[in-house]
Amino acid sequence: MSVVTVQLGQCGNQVGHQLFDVICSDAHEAQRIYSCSSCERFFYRSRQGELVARAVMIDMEAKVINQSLTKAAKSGRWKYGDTSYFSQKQGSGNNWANGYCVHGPRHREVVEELVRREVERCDRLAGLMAMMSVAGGTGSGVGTYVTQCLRDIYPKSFILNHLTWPYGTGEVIVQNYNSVLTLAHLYQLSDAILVHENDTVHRICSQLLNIKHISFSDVNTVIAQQLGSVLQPALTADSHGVYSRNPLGELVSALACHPEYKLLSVSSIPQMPSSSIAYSTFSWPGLLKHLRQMLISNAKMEEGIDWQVRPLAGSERTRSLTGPSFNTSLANLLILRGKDVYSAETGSFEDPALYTSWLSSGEAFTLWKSPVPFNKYEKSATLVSNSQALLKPLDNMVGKAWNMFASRAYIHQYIKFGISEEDFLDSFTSLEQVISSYSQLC
Amino acid sequence: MTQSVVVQVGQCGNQVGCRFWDLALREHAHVNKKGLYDEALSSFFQNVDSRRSDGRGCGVGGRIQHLKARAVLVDMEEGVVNEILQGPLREVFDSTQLLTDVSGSGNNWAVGHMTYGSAYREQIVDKLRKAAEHCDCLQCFFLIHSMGGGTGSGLGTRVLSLLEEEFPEVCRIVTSIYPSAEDDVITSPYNSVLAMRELTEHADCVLPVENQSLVEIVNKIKHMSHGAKPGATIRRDSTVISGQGGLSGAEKPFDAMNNIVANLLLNMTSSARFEGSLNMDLNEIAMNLVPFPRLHYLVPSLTPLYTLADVNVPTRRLDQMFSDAFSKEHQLIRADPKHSLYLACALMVRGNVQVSDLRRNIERLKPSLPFVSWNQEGWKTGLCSVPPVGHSHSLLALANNTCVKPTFMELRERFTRLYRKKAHLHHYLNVEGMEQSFFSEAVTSLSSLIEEYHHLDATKLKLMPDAPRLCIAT
Amino acid sequence: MQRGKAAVSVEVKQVIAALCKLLAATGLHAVPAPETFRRAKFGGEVEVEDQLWQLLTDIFHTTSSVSSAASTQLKEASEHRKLVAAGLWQSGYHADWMYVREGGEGAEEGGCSSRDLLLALGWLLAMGTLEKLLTQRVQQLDRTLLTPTPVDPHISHEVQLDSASLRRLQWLIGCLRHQGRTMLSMQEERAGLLHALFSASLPSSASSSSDQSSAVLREDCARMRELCDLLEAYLNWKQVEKVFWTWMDSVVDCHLKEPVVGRPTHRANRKAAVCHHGNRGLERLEDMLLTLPTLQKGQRRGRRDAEDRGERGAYRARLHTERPVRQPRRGRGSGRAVGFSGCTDASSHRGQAAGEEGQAETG
Repeated sequence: MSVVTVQLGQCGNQVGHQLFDVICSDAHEAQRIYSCSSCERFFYRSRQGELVARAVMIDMEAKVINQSLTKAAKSGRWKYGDTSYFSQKQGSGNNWANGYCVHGPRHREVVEELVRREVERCDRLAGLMAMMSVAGGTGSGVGTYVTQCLRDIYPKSFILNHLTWPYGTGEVIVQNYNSVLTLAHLYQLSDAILVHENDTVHRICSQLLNIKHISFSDVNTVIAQQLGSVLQPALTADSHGVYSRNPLGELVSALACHPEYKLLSVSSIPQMPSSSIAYSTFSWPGLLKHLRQMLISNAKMEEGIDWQVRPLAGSERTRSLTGPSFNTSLANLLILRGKDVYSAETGSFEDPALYTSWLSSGEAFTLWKSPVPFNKYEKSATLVSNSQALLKPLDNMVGKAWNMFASRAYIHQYIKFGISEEDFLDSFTSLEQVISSYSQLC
Repeated sequence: MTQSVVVQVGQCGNQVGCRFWDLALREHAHVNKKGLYDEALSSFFQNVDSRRSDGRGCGVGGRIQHLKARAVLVDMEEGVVNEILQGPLREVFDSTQLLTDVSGSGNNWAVGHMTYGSAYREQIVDKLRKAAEHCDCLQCFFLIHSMGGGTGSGLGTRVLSLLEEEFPEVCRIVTSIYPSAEDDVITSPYNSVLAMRELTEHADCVLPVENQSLVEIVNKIKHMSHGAKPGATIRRDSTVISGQGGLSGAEKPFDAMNNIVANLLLNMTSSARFEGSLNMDLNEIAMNLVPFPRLHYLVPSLTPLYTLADVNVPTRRLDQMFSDAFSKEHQLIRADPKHSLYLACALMVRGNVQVSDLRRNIERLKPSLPFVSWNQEGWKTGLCSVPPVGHSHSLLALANNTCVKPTFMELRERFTRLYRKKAHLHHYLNVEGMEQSFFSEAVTSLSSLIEEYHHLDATKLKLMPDAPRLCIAT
Repeated sequence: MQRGKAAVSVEVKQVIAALCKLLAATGLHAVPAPETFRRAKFGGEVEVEDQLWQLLTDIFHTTSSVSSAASTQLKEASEHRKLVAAGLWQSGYHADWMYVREGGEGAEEGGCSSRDLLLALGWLLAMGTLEKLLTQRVQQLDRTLLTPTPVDPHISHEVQLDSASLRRLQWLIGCLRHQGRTMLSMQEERAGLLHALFSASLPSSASSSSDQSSAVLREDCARMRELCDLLEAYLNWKQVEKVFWTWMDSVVDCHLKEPVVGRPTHRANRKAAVCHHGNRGLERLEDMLLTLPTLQKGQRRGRRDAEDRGERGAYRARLHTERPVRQPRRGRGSGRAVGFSGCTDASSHRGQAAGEEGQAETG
C-alpha cells in the first residue's frame, strides 16, 4: 500500500525532501523484504528504473521546489517526478487568507490533477499525507485549502497532516493568527495531525546532537528522521509476522479515533551525534524506562527529564491531583526498531495510570516492532502520543493570537482577502474547545 | 521569481536611484560569474536584445545581452537626469523610461502635485504601464523621493496615488528622504506635511530616512577613517559608502549619503533576488510589520556601517552587528527605538548566518527592547545567503516603532511656525487646484497619526493584562 | 446534556438530512427531502402529506411488516393508506385518523394532517424500524458474512450516559469508522488484484468472460461501497439522533398546542368527524377486548405467528401489548413518552380507561 505525500510551501517542501531522503537511505541498507515494503509505500519505479517519490510539491514560489528537485536528483538514489510539482512566481506573503482564499482556489484544478495522477499510480492507496508549516501563508493557507480539496475528493481515505509549528519568536509575526486559522480548519478535515515544534527540535539539535551552528536543514533532518521511524515498515500485533501495509490507517486507528483529540506528538530515543554512537550501548529496558519518563513528564528529549513525576494510583486520581506536571495520555503508539526487539518488555506503557479513565490501556496502547535497526542506532524507540503534550504550546499559541486579536492588530490584512472577524472568532472557538477537551483528559 | 519597478522622482530620488542601480549591478556582477541572465537579475533588470525589434526583453536563462533597469525616472528639471544620461549608467536606461521638464517645481508641493501632476498624468501612467508590461509577475513598486523639495514631495506623492489607482494589487514601498531642520528650502515643512498625508493614505510601507542622520553617519565614518587608528581602518571599497569600483567615476558630494540609502534598498530586496534558507518576500514586509493600516512607517537601520567584518566571522563580531542595529547611531532617522515602543521588527540578514545565530541574538536582545503588549514576539526574520560585496554578512533592521513620533512632531512644529504667519502661503494658493483646506487637512492627518502613536506609547509602561479568553461551557 | 433550543434549530436540518441519507441508504425509494419534515411539523400541504404516505408505505413494504399478499396489489392511494394504518396498528401505534373508514368524511384527504403522519413515523423509528431496515440491507449487501449478526436494539440499556462513557463511545465509533475505511480499501485492492489475475490468466480472445468477471468484481466492489456508505450513514445518524428526538418533542408540543390543523375546507366537518372517529375507536376497542383472552397467549411470539392468525386479530394483539403509552422507551428519557401519549387522542384514553389499567395520565 502506498502513501501519497503532498508537500506544501517552503517548510513542507524542505521537510518532505528530507523525509524521502531518510526513507530511501534507510530502505537502501536493509534487507529485501523491508526494503521493498518501504519502497512500495513511498516510491515507484520509473521506466528507466529510477526510484521516484510518490509526492506532489506545491509552492507559490519556485525557489525551494527547484532546490529540492535538484538535491533529490543529485542524490542519485531517488528523484521527484518530472512533472509532479506546481509552483507560481509570487508567495502568499505570510498571509493565511491570501493562501486560503486566493491562491488555493485559483490553482485548485492543477493541484487536484497532480494529486490524482499520483493516486492513480498506486495499486492501493493507504492514505494521503500533507506536509506543511502553520506559520507562513502558503503552507498554512494553501495547505489548508488543499487538504479540504483532498477530503472532498477522497472522503474515505486517511488523511494525515504533518505540521511544523514555528519557533515561539522570530519567524513570522502573524504566525499565531496563521496557526490558529490552520489548526481550526484542519481539525475538521484531517484524520490526525502530527506536530513537530521547531523549538523542541532546535533544542534536540543543540543539546543532544551537539550541533554548533544549527541550520534549518539540521532541524528538518531531525524531523524527517523521527517521521521516518514512524512511517517505515513495522510488524503490528495482528499483522502475523508480515510488515503491516497501511501505515497511515493503522496510525490513525491506534491514536486518533476521537474527533476532539487529533493532535499527535513524537519523541524518540536515542538521539546523539553519529560520532558517539560507536561508543554507546543500548538496552531495551534502559531506553524504554527513559522514554516512559519522557512521556509522563512531558519531556521532549532525553536530557532534563523530571524523574519526580509519577503516575498516581487509581484512588488518588482526580483532576486536581494529577497536577500540571503529569502528562496524561489518551493513546500511545510505541515503535521499536532494532536488535532483540522481541525481547523488549513494554508492560510499563500499558499501565492504566498513564491513560485517561475512559479508555482501557488495551485500547489505548499499540505496539509496533521491527527487527531492522533504524538510522544507525542498534536499538531505537519512537513514541507517537496523543496526549496533553501539545496542550501548553497550543494554549500559548491561541493566547497570543487572542491578545493580538483583542487589539484588532493585523486584522485588516486578512479582511483584504476575505477572512472576516467572524471567521477568526469561529476558529478561536473551535480551538478553545480542543484546549478544553485536552485539559479535561484525565 | 517576481519583479519590481523603481520609480525615482525629483533630484534626490534620482540621485539615490542611480546609486542603487550602480550598486545593484556591481552586486550581480560579483555573484553572477557566468554572464547569464538569471532569475536574480530579472527581478530588477530586463535583458534586451537589440536585434529584436519589438523591444521586449529576453527570457531568463540566456546570455546577458543588454541590461535595462526596471525603472521610471521623473524629474521636472533636466540637470540630474541629463547627468545620468551622460554618465556611465546611461546604458541601463533608455529615453522611454524618462520624463523631464525644464522649469522645476520651485520647491512648491502644489506645483509638483497639481500643476505637473495633471499635465503629465497620462505620460506618467503610460511609462508605468510600459514598465509593468515588461514584468512577468510584478510584485512591488519602490518609490524614491525627498520630502522637502517641490518635485519629489509633490509629484512624487502624486505618482504614489497614481500607482494605487492603476495597480491596486501591487505593493508600494516608499523611501522618503526627510529634510534637515536647517534645510535651505524655507517651504520644506509645508511640502513635507502635505506629502505626509499622501504617504499615510496611499503607501503600503514608508521607510523614512533623515538627511541629518545620513550627514552624521558620513561624518563619523570620515572621521574614523582619517583618525587612522592602527587596525581600525575602513576599507574604502566597502559598498556602504563608497562608490569606487562601480560604474561612476569621481565621487560627488552626496554620493556617500545616497549610497547608504541605496544600500538600504539593496538589502531589503536581497531576499527577493537571491536564495536563502529563510526567504523573506517583499509582500511579507507589510504583512508582518504593519498591524494598523496607517501606522506603516518603518524605521530602517543598517549594519555594518562603521566597522568592517573579516572573512572569518568570530561570533562576537556577528553578535555586535545585531546589537548595533538597535543602537541610536545606526538608525537612518534621528531616533532611539530602544526607548520607544516596538510594534514589530524585521531582521533581514545577508551572508553566512544560521538560524541559530538569529535565535541567540533575538533571545539576547529581547529583554532590552520594549514591545507592545500584544506583540511581545513581534519578530520577523529573513536569511539570504548572498552577502553584500565586500562583506561577509550584513543586517537591515526595519522597526515599526513609536520613535518616529518625535520626528513627526518636530515636523509639525516647523509647519505650524510657518503656517501661523501664513508665510509663503500665497505661492501655494496661486496654483490651480490648490486650496487652503489642503493645509489644514494635512496637518490634521499628521496630528491624528501622532496621536495614534501616542496612544500606543501610553501602553508602554502599563502592565497590560491578557485579554480574557473565550470560555467553553462544559 | 440538555441542548439549548437555538442550537437544536440550527442543527435540526442537518440531522434530518442525516436521517434521510440513512433511510435512502437502507434501500428505501420514497425518501422525501429534509424540508418535507419541517413542513410536516407545521401541518404542511397535500404534497407533503403524499410524500409521507409514500415513505410510510415504502417502509412497511420493505420491512414486510404486513403480509405481502395484502400489500402487493395495492394500487390506489386509499389502499396505501390502509396498508399504512394497518402497519402502524400492527406496530402498536394508534391515533384516531387510522380508523377512518373508506369513503368516510375526509377520507379523500387522508383524514389526517401531515403532522400526524410525521408523528407516526417518529413512532416507527422509536420502535427500532431503522435497525430492522439496516439489518436487512446489510444482509443483502454483504455476501461475505456467513452468519448475519442481528442488531440488538436493547444494548443501549446498559450504557450510562455520563461524559466519560460518551467519550468512550465516540472513540469506539471513530474506531469503527476507521476500520470501515480500511476494509473498503482492502476490498478495493482485492477486487483490483482479482481483476488483474483474471485478465492475466484468461487468453485475450475470451474477452467476454473476462468482461463478465470484471463486471462481477465491479458489482462486488460497488456493493461493498454501498455497505460502507450505509454503515457510515448509520454512524452519522447515531451521533446526532438525540437532536432529532428533541425536535420530535417539539413536533409533539406543536401537536398538543394546536391539535386541529385542518385545512379550511375540512374544518366544517371536523366536529362530526371527531365524534365519528371516537365512536369507531370505541367500537374497535370493545371488539378487541372481547377477543383479548385468546390473543394474549400469542402476544410474545413472533410477528409471523400473529400474521398467520389473520390481520385483524394480529393488529389487535399488537394494539393491546404495545400500546404507546405503556411501551417503555428505551433509555430516551421520559419527555418523549409524554409526547407520544399525546398521539392518542381522547378516544383512546377513554379506551384505556375502559381497558385494563386506567393509565391515562402519564408523566
